[in-house]
Amino acid sequence: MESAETTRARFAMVIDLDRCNGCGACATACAVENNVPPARPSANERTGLTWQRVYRASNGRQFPENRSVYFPVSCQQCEHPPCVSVCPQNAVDVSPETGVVSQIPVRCLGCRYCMTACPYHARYFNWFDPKWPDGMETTLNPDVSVRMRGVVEKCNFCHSRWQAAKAKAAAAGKRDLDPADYVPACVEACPEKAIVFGNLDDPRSGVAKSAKSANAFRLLEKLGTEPKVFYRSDRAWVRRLADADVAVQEKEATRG
Amino acid sequence: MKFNVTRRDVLRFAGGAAIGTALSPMPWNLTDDLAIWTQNWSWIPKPPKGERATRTTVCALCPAGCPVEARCIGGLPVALRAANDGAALCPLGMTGHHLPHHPNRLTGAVGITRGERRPAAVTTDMVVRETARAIRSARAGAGSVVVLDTRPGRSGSWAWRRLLAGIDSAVVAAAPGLEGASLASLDTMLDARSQSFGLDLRNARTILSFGAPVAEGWGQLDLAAARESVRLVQVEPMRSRTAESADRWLPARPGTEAAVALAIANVLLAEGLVDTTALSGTDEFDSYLSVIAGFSPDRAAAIAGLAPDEIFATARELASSGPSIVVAGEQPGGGPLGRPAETAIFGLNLLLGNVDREGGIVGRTPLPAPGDDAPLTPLARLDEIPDHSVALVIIDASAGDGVYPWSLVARKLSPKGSLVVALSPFLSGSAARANFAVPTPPYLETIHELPTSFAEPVASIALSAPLLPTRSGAVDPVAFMRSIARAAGLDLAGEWATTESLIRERVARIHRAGSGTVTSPADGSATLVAELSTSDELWDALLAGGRWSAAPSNTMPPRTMRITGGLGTALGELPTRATATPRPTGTLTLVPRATRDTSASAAVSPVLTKLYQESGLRGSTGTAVLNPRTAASLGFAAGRNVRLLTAAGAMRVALMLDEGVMPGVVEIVVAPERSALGEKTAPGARTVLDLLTPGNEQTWSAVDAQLLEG
Repeated sequence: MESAETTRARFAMVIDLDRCNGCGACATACAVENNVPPARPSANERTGLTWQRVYRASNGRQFPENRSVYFPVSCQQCEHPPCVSVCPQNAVDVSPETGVVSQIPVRCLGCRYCMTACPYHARYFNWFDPKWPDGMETTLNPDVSVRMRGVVEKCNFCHSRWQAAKAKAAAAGKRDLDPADYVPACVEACPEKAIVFGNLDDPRSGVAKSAKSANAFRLLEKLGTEPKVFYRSDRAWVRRLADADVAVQEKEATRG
Repeated sequence: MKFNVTRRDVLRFAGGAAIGTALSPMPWNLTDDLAIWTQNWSWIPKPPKGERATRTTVCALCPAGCPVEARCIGGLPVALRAANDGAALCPLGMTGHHLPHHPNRLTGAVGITRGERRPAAVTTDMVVRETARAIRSARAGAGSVVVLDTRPGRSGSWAWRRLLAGIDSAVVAAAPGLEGASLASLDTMLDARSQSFGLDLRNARTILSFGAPVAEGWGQLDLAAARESVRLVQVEPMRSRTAESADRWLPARPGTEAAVALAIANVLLAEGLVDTTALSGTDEFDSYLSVIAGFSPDRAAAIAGLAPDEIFATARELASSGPSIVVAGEQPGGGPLGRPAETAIFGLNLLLGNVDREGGIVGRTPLPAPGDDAPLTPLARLDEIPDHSVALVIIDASAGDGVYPWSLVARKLSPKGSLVVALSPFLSGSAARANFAVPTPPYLETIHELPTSFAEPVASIALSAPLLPTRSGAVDPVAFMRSIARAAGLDLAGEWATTESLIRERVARIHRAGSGTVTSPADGSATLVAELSTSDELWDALLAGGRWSAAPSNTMPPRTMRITGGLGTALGELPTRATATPRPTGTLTLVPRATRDTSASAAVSPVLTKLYQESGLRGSTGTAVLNPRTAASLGFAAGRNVRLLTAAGAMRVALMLDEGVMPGVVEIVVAPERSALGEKTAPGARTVLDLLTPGNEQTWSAVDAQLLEG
């Protein structure tokens, strides 16, 4: 792989919750891009692997005034990630080049402290050996290695796509990546164009502008983790959900 | 010099060595190597290596036919994405390259016996012989022959009609509940002649949709892109994705859609918002007026559980914000609304003058047939075929499948003996209910044809080019037809021997006609067919992902409009039926709920467990969802396993509560079955659809049900 000294960036995304309709294209694209295996028959919502998971929350009102919102939740790429300090293996790394929080599976010993520390439930443990139906391994993405059983994994803003964009920029003798060359799979797959991705440090980028808009917010901001995944909605009740645990709220509302 | 080695020296050496080793890179390298080693067990799959390339095709997993760009490694597709800039694929389309490796893919013909966990391997020749025998019996009077087509309009569909033309009792019918089937109601309402009807949704400013999943790609409308220019009003009992996206949602009670449509017509006429010159003066229109007189907004609102103001506002918006279009859609998983309801709904278009105009319902000439003008077996609707009269059903699910209760087919079978043969790439969906299943090549392994989708305003065709070689054992459907013709002594003239050669015939005819354009998926540029010197050039352009579209017709024939579709005053009887019959206490309305994308395929990628099993986004099949107030009145709590009882039987279901579900309604999730997701299960296992007994109008969108303990 060619390497080049690229300009430092802080990659971030803004998800427009008023556009998201919960189709699940982002979650599917993520699994395909990152070689996340299909579930074993016994797997469930607790033991499954979903780097990008779409939760549904509601305004709590009665039918027919009841309205719902879909929250695509992946690793929030915190500026102050609680998962880093608890890892005894230094298996969680914040890239100074991109600001992306990476999980290094070869270092991970599977203690799952990071899963406990993550307030967003965005980390997943590989309970089983990754297994695809016979022949389907020929459809795996060659740019992403398959993780083994016993390690934690999570979203890394499609690190392989960043590597490819970096190589392309290096080949062209550039220091800056072309924003069109580095687009995570979920952003590319969204049919509603609900996800904006880019460099937060670039004030001209769409993501920097959207993140500063009046109706932008981050999940559980009170914890001080400073996520780099922003959400936006024109609906006040949706913004109020920012301080709720959407995963727990969904579970309690539907399953008791 | 004396050299004494003491025990202390040995210990010092060992200690030093241990400290030195610990401080060297060796243990850390060893740890690292061990970690890497444990990642490379032989059973951990290895991504493929090879030359990278990009190829273009068209998704054939649903009739929409989205252009697809495939990233290939060593010639094998590893990622699919939309070929058009700014477009996106649905989860099914994105994972289409997994389907040739689906665990329930058929590798050879099988015989299926009810109750047996595993199907028995048979030869294709044996299936051909049995099919030919059934055809001979049918000709001798044992019953009729029905081909159930899950993708009507293909060249293969034409070939079935050609094959069975010599059998008096044979018909070709579309599988129930297919998208766009509701438009068949227009054939009786408008003078179709040699045309069919499409919907010009892209040029409409207001869309009133009765249950059509418009926000999920129904009608090939990119609602997200058209959001600024289109207003959407959705009439639907469920809080679907489309209902959530709509500018106005009218949550009418299940089965009361026609009442709402007739009440809107009542307002349009009472307030003089429409010009009825073209309709008035006929018996049909007089009947219509007498029907809608019984559906005042107040009465309809009471039937449907809506506020009368919503009906007034919708009617006024339709009249003032034109061009407007009113569509009746098939609920994914829930099937059609039924002909009377569809007639009442489409009748609004006739009132509004929405026929043969931009942004409305438009007539279109059909695609050229692939063969000569030889006689063809008639087309029929499944509900027109008498019950217990069919000796042979051939289900052509080679290009897709539908979601429908099997009882719709089973009730047609002759009790004296019948045979069901399915052509499908997978042992799931319709094929799992057949007596014999014959494997056909799946998407990406053969050419699939994407003829005019139901909503398109003009005829069109696209071809899905294969990216993989056909696996041995797969049988070409047209070659199968030829074998049947030989074995049963049927005349099947024509040079074509395979599906590809048959589609080539159709493309050659399009080229000979010399009209229309081919649009490139890459840049949207259009080439006139008249500029292509040979049909091979047209063929190549289509195989490269292009779509041929007929030239729009500027002159439409004057039409005779039958606003009640020949139903007369019977049009008004349906909406009251749902509420007039007394129901036992505790009876709920069971409404099936599915998502549009996965409803068109018998199998889906196992990776879609992310949506159906590993997250709560779509819910697994068989989950019952109830309003918390309804659950409280019945004494049920969330998470309970309960028995769901309908006239067709009972099934244990897990209960979920959702304030977004209409009180008195139980939604049942119709997700891909476990076999469709790749799990090995006994073929033909009972599914939630078996609880849905279709009513007289062949609808199963609302069924009476009860929830019981245990």
